[in-house]
This record gives sequence, C-alpha cells and structure tokens, in this order.
Amino acid sequence: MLNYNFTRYETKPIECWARMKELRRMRFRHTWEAHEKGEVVIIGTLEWFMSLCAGLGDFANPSYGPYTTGLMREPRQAIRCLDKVDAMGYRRDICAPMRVNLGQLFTGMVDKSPNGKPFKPDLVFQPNMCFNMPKTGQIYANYFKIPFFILDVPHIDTEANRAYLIAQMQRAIEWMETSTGRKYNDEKLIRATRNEWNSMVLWAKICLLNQNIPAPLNFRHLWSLRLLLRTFRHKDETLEFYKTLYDEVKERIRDGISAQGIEVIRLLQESLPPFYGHDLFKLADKYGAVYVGGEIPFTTNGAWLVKEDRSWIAPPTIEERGKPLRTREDALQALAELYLAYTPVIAWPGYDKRINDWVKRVEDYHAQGVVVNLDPSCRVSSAGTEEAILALKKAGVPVCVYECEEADPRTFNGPQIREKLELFYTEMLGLTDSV
Amino acid sequence: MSELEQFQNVVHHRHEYAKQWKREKGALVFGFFGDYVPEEIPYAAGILPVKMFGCQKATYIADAHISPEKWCFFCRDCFAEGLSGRYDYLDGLVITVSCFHLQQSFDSWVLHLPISFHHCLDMPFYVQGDLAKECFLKETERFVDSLEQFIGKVISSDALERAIRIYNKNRHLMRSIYNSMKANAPLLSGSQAMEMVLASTLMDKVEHNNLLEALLIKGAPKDRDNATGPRLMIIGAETDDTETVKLIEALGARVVADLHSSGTRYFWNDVSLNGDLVSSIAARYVDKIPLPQMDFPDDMSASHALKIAIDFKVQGAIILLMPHCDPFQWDIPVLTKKFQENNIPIMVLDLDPVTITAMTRTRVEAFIEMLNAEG
Repeated sequence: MLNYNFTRYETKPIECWARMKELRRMRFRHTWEAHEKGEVVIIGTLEWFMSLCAGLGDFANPSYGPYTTGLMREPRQAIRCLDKVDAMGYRRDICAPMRVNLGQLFTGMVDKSPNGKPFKPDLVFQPNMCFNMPKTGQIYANYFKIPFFILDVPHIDTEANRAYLIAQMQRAIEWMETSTGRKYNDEKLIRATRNEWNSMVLWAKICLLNQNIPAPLNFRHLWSLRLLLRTFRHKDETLEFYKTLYDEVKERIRDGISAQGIEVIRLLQESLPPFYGHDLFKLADKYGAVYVGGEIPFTTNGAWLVKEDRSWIAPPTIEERGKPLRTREDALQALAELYLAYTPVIAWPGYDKRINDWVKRVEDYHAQGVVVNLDPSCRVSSAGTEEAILALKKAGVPVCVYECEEADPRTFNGPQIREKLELFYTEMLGLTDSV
Repeated sequence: MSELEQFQNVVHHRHEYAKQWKREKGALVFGFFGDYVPEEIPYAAGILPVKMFGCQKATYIADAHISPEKWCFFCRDCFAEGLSGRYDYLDGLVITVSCFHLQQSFDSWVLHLPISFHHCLDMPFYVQGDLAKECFLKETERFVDSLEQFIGKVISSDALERAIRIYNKNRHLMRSIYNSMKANAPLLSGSQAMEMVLASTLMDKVEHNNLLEALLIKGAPKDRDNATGPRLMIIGAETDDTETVKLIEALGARVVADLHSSGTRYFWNDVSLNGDLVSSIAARYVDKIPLPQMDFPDDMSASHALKIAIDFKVQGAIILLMPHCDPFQWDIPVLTKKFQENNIPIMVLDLDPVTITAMTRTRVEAFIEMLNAEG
C-alpha cells in the first residue's frame, strides 16, 4: 500500500552551489595551468587515494579524461570519440567511461589544452579499483611514454590485504620521487589524508540527512554536489566545502526546507544513471516524486560503515577513530583502512550483502519505489544488480528497470526509457501529473 | 574405450563421473570457477576439485539472476547448470576473484543453491608486481585454514607434496602431448586436445595421468588423417565449446595451438617443490600467463600467445570471443597488432555458444580460404 504525501514544503536553492561550481571550474583549469605553476599533472582515474599524490605538492588530475564532463553535455562529441575507439578495435562491452576517456586520447583531444597549447601529463598513477582503469592507464602511458604505476586495491578486508596495499603505497611514494625528481612531503600526505577521510565521512553524513522527510536534497543535487569528492577530496577547500554543505543541509532540515517543495512519493535510483541523460529525473517532477538518493552517489564518494542489519552509517572521523596520524606510516594505514573497511563498492565479490543493502536502504530512506539502470558497461557497480532487483520485488518494492550505458549515448533509447518511467510513475505508483 | 574416447566420455558425462568417484571414494567433490583456484589444496585434502562448466544450452532459467545483456554466456551457463540441479552432488564451491562474470555465477549460486562449503579467495590483479605472490600466499593460507576447519583435519605437508607431484605430472604429460602438435602428425587434433584438457579439469588427476601416459606410449593413431590445411591457433577465455573447434577442423584447418583456459593456459606452468609448499602453490598461480584483466603494465599474455604461435608454426589465429567478455575485448587490438606485425593473420570470431550459426561457418571458411590462398 503506497502512502502519498501531499504536504507542500518550502524550498530554496542551495546556497553553497555557486562555490561548488567555482571549485569545479578551478579544477578544470588546473589541468592546463599546472605545468606553468611548476606542478605535476597525473593521469589516472584517481578519485581514491588522492592523498597519496598530495605529498608531491599540488597536482592536477584530469581523472576520466579532461573533457569528459563537457562530452557528456554534448553527446554528439562523445559519440565521435566513441566511434574512434570502435575504429581502433576496442569493442563495446568495455567500460563506457574508459572508452570515452580513450576516445579523447585517440582523437587527439588530450594533446592540447582548450586554448590549443600542447599538453603532456607527467605520470600515470592508477589505483586498480576495476581492471578497466589500469588497462586505460597502460594505453595512456604508452602513448605519452610516461611512467606508470598501478596501485592494486584488494577486494576483501583482511590484515594481509591491508599490508599488501600499504606496501604498494610505500613503493608508490618512492616511484613518485624517482619519476618526478621531487622530494615527497609527508606533512602534506598527512594533511591530505585527514581531508580525504573527513570529506568522505561528511559526505556520508550529508547523504544520511536525506532520510529526513522532506528530503533536503534530491538526487540531482547529490549527483552534482559529490563531484568535488571525485576530483580533489584531499584538499582543504574540499573539506571546508563539505563542512559548509553539511551545516547548510542541517539548517534546511531545521527549517523544513525540501529539495523540491513537494514529495508525493520518495524514490531511489540505484545503479548508475546515464551521465548524459540527467533530464530523466525531471520527468518525476510533474508527479511530485523525489529521488532521495541511491548507492552510486553514496558509495563512490562517501565513507560508510555497514552495520549487521545492512544499514549504512557514517564511520568515525579521523579524529574519532582514535589512532595516531603523525607519520607517513600512520597515513598509509589510515588510507588502507578507509578504502578496505569503509568503501562498500570495492567489495563487489560477495554481493549477497549488497542485495540486502538495497532492501534496507528503501526502509531507511522511506522510499516507495526504486529505479534501476541495468547498465551493461560498468560491471563493478552493477555486480549483483539483477539479484538485488529480485530481492526488492520479493520485498514488495515497486521497481522500474531500464537499460543504457552510463557514458555511451548510442545506447540510450530516450523515448523508450521515458515511456517506461512514465508508466512506472502512473501505473505502478499510481501517480498523476495534476500535482 | 580408447584414451581419447574416455576423455570425451568424461567431458560429456562429467556429473556421472563425479558422482561415481564420490561413491567409490566416500569423499567430497568441490566445484571451482576459473583459472586461479589452487586446486592442489583441496586435492591434498582428499577432495576432488572439478571445474565448473555449463551444458551449452539456453540459459533462460539463469537470466533473471544474471542478465544476458551484459554477462557472458559461460557464467550464465554455469549457473543454469546449477539451477537445473545437475550439480547437486557438490559439497563445496570455490572461486578466486579474477573475473566479474564468473563472480556473478558464484555469488548467485551461494545465494540460491544449497552448498555446505564455499570460499572466495581474493587475488591480486597486479600479478606482474613483486608483491603479488606474498599477497596471494596469505589468501591461499586463509583458504587452507577455512578448508581445514570444514573437514576437521589438518592438510599435511606430505599430502600437499603428493598433490603437487600429481598435478605437475599431469601438466608435464599434457605439455608433452601438446608438443607433438608442432609436428605434422600430432597425437591429437585440436578439438581432441581440448577434450583432453577439459577431462583433466573434471577427473581425478591420477586416472587422467594414466590415460595420458597410455596415449604417449601408443603414439599417433596409424589411421589418423594427416590433414594438410592451414595450421591455426585458438585464443580465448573460459570455454568448453569443443564444437566450434571441431567446426574449424571440419572446414579444413588444423588447430595445432591455443591459449585459453581449457587449453595451454590451464597447464603451462608447474608448482615448484622447493621451499614452503603453500608458498610454491600460490606462486604458481600468480605466475600463470595472466588473463587480460591482470595483464599490465606489460602485455605478457599477447607476447606469450605470439611465442606459442611461432613455436607451433601457426599460419593463422582465431580469437574465440564470448559475447560480453570485456577482458578479452581489451586484448583484441594488442593481439591483432602483435600477430600482424609478425605476418600471422588473425581474426575475431564472435561466438554464439548455443548454436553454431551459418555466419560463424562462413567467416571461418573465408578465413581458411584466405590462408590457403596465401599458401
């Protein structure tokens, strides 16, 4: 039995939104300005372990490719890149974001800055969260003939695996010094580790606030606001931003401010939505439905402690953790703990737990429906998705499933997906657009 | 029954074989997924490890759990086989984290099907790094502990050594047989060799060794039709698709070499008997020719494939590509470049494991014709 909420709430824009945009613009420019400032440019999908590179001083990291965000706003350009990757012999089951990344390389986009200056990164540093990333890094390293380091991240949290990760990080530091000729600064590592840990904990706390009725943020807010964690979670300004955001969101709850003014029904978006198709979420607006969260914005950016009952809570901050953070060794141990103990997405083997997470999240976030993109191309994020869908249905949760690749617009059948969603809202959830 | 017929028999009646073995020995049978489970460990514990395969029929019953739109046929086939009940004799299930696709099969199995013991070993993917062996050793030790707790006894060093010797002998014998394929009158055809390896993954290795020794003594059958078609190499992932290999042979080619998980990749390297045995076992698996998803920064797998191709005087290569197998899709450009640089034509054959389509046949025919024309 679905419960509809016709309460009208106040709503207002997010005050620190402009700061988020400003920081994102700074980050884009940084890629092209770093060399002039005497800083290092590191290629690699580096949203994790950024602190490790911080010991080199400030560095630029164009992550999924320097022009990816722009390409996702311009699907025709993205398709041009993807067609080139096809022509180079890379098939379409390969991770779509990595194909978009490679497409920028193969079309020569990465060879130049936006104002046409030649561009060459200094290093490839790639945590192996998923093998598609080091495979991409390998190609970048061969293309630019630059040093390449792989940080192999285990999937199961054991003492031995933490020791493996820490030993590699030690090696990584030596490699960075040798490859760049720079002296590594442990103080910067320690500071960055504190920022990385606490930013991720803060993000978890912000996401948890969305359990409130009304939700202070919606999925589109979360999707944009998380981006600083993807790009420089190790920085002072990132931590400051999330502190500000956390305070603001708490105030929104205190003042009864909602994300959209109305939330007739609350929904979750599990799995990756199409990066180029976020207007899909706007369809829900006319029905008064609000997407209040989902695994992807939560897990790829936040630190989470998963309880026995499979609810996710914020882990201790680095201070609350009660372990020293004074030396390089302390920092590396903290990073190993952060990623092996508190990052559920890494633990993709053994997805029986993940299935229960989805069902519990519906309960915790007071959701009454779930939308899933059965993304064929990201296997880490979609491991066990089908089983989770079955579990949700068994639990009586209405589920809508569509299919498209998160970063390949050629797979996106917009009219079909919109129709599915409309039918979900109207037929399964009983919503009308007379809100 | 000849040795080759016995291999075939085990492959086609593997469940009956395993059940009979279980009855006769009064022992346990474990299923394992993929290339990286250290089989010597359960074997030393008196358990028969059998590699998991499907039956190459439609996988409808598995599709709700593992989508056919993104996961490979092989993993769905394995799980469908489990759902069908044909694996109900298994006492345990083991996997080493190495492939997203196989992991789906294992995880769905654990979720839905009764199994007394299951274990997942983590695997370092950066196998070319010098820390990988120590990492995998710890995981192997964790497996040993878990298994010993399950069976209620310690696995002795003597038992481990015996298991290693038996497995090494099996690998050595298969390598010897494979080496005969360098010549014009090999002991086996390519499809027979594949059945030999498949049988090895399904049988007690002592029995398999006896058959291999008998085969080596007998030599090449006198009535073997020494085909004169082009010498081909098959490259691919996890597969039990002997029918496609038979098709290639029926169309006039000789499959004389391979690099796939039911071929040389399974048996190419041994376990050292020097030093700590569990360490040696772990090291052997780390040192295997890596799967594409573990093959960085150097393209070791493609380089090894080329070496085999040259050693076996291969005239052409076919990559057997399972639909949605993204790891091997990374390897296609690398293999293509390496082989073409060495003037060895190479093609990609997209498999439909349920039906050999007319398109498959046409593509293979055209490739063979081209090779014949090039002489």
